[in-house]
Amino acid sequence: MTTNSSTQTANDGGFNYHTAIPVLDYEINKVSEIFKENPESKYSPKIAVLPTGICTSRIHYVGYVGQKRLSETEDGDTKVHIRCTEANSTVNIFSNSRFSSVTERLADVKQCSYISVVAKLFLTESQEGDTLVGVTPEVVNEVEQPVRERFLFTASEESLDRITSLSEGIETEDQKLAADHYGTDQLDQYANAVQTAINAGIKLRKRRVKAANAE
Amino acid sequence: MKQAELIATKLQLVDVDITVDEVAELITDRAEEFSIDTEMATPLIEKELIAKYDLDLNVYENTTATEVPYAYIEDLDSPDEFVQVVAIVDDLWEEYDDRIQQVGTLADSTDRIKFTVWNVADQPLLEKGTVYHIWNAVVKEHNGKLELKITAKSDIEQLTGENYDVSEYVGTDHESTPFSGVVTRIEPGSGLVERCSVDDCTRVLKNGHCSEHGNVEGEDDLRIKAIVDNGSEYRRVTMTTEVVETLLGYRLQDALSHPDIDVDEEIHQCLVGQYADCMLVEYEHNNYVSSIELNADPDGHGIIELYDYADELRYIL
Ligand SMILES: [Zn+2]
Repeated sequence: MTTNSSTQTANDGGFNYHTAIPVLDYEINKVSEIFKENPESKYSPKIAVLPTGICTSRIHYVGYVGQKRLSETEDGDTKVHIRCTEANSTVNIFSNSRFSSVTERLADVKQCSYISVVAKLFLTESQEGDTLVGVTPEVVNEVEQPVRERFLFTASEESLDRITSLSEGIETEDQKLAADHYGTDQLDQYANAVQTAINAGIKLRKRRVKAANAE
Repeated sequence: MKQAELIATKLQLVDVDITVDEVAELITDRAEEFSIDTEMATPLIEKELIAKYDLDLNVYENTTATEVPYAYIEDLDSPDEFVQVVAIVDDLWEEYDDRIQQVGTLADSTDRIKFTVWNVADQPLLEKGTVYHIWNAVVKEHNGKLELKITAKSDIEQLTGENYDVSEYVGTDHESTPFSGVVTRIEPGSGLVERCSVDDCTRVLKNGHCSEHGNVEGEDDLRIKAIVDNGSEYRRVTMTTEVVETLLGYRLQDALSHPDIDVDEEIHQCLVGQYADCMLVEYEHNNYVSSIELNADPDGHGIIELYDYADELRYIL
């Protein structure tokens, strides 16, 4: 089976890289299907099926650090849980003990800052027992607000492309997987979420430009 | 006959129209005539030819100079001067004169110049888009314009992509193309690196070890290898010294003299997860960053259209 059919992957000289798909808060939290590319292999990447019709092992996300919680695992390792919040959405970011340098960076992230992550998606359970989509960064960096604005616009544009393509018919293996799992009758919700994101981006930008002019 | 070749080349350098075969024939004829070795006949023929063509002995003898100055193309101004240049083969032209092996233009960061390689020079074919270090090329004036002659005395070494920033070469076919995306990864071998100090090798050392020259002295440099990813495509890019210095806001020397500067950490903070609008120059399968702008202000251009389009889509769906 082929995945990432519409994204560039390459293997040059033992180098294998899958592109990172920008995904909006709303769509991240709707993901409920993640499979192993090769179930036989322990190291096979996990592929998330995005409801807008693409399968990916890597996403890009920029969010506002609303809450940060540090805890300790049974092995004494630090565990970090960051809730990126905006209006009424939350994206849950978790450290993974396999990436200790990322864990350190996540632990150092300042509350009320913006972070940009390239990450894997995984499914976990909330304390209430609901399924929760977790985001595990491979890399993380604290960034300035314009990066979130550009992310909102870029991810919106990309999302709209995916929605349009899927609404026009199922052509790729990725789209088939997405349609089988999520159906295509709620695509208007995703278009709606894009509008929310664009609004959020415009609002952020206005506020920033206003603050800059006031100085 | 090595001697005939040498003489023919020297003569060609001072614009005498003569081939190796012609010189060789003169030498053999004279050797037979006087029943002497060709070795003894050679200086005789050389003297005769100098006299025959009324050559300035100083100029002629200068063609044997071995230590020649390194020059930028823009600075070349003295005909008959021997120089060394580092330049890219900018263009190759079709050549109808079958005595000429190749003709085209060479470019460095300052200017470009026509060059010719004569068949008699017995040099390897130069490739377009490749950078060479050329020793003992001679400056010639032809129809009031300067050109470089590559002769049998010239030494040519092909440089590899590690040795230079191709974007420094002017007027090349390596046009830069824009590419924008998120920096998703800084690759190993970024930051302060040591390069091999042997001749013009400049390969990056691993633990003081050059893959070609073994354990060698290192020369410090700054570079970044990174991945820029726009969600559907990515580029593995290389940033050379000047680009990295501009990004970090200090020079290589400053980084070296302040050991408390954590270059790797600064590269991470500066680049990772940031939007990069790059101009890339593709060369030997590497993408060199010739300029980069980080997190350009999203101007909201097209955003309203995007919003309206989402609106439309929402009603269609
Ligand atoms: Zn070396």
